[in-house]
Amino acid sequence: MDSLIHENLIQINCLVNDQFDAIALAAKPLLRQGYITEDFIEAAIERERTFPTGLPTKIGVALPHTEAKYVLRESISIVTLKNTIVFAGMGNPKESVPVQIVFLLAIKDPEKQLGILQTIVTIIQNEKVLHKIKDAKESKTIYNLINTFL
Amino acid sequence: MKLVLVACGTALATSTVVARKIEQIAQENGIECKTVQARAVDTFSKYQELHPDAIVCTCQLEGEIDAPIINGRAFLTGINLQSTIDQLIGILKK
Repeated sequence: MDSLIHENLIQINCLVNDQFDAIALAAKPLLRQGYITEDFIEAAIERERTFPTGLPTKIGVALPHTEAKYVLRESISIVTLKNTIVFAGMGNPKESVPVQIVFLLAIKDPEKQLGILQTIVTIIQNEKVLHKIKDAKESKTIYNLINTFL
Repeated sequence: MKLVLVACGTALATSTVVARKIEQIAQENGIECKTVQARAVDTFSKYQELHPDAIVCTCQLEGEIDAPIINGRAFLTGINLQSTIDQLIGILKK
């Protein structure tokens, strides 16, 4: 199975101003490499405003995504943040969730991609793995780590 | 057969993971249970149409809903997962 995780879609130790900036940054390599349409970015930001995706795991994680029509080829972009950025909580927009890892999901067919989605859920429930991702100094480290779960 | 409506913003990523977990938990507990996924904006009309035994959501819901609503975030974060599972099983075993 062709993995949705690619080393060149992983950006580490990034500086951003806010959660929307983080989404735009995560989307950048997807747009450049033809995984998403230009409108994906605005749509994902808009969706984050309405249906926020911050999760208060041991190291805060956000899972921004948007509708399938903006996805050309499925993939997942990963960004680790140098500074903690506040996302609103999934299901609870008034909650402030400090986030250090962003998984931007460009998904068309969730049933087909259930395996990778479940892997991400397994990872975010594992404090040790979250620390390894946050502290990774190279994209390759994160890529290899996630692949051990696939 | 029990029916659980699983709602999230786009019915695309989180609700799929949550729906499969619910089916697995129901099966492990000997409960016959089906899930239907809905986008947040469609949840109220789906609720009226399907009369689910419970709604599990990872988003805020609008409209007057007279079915048990469970916050499904625990299925993603693992935080308070057992109490969420117990709550779900309690409702489905009624």
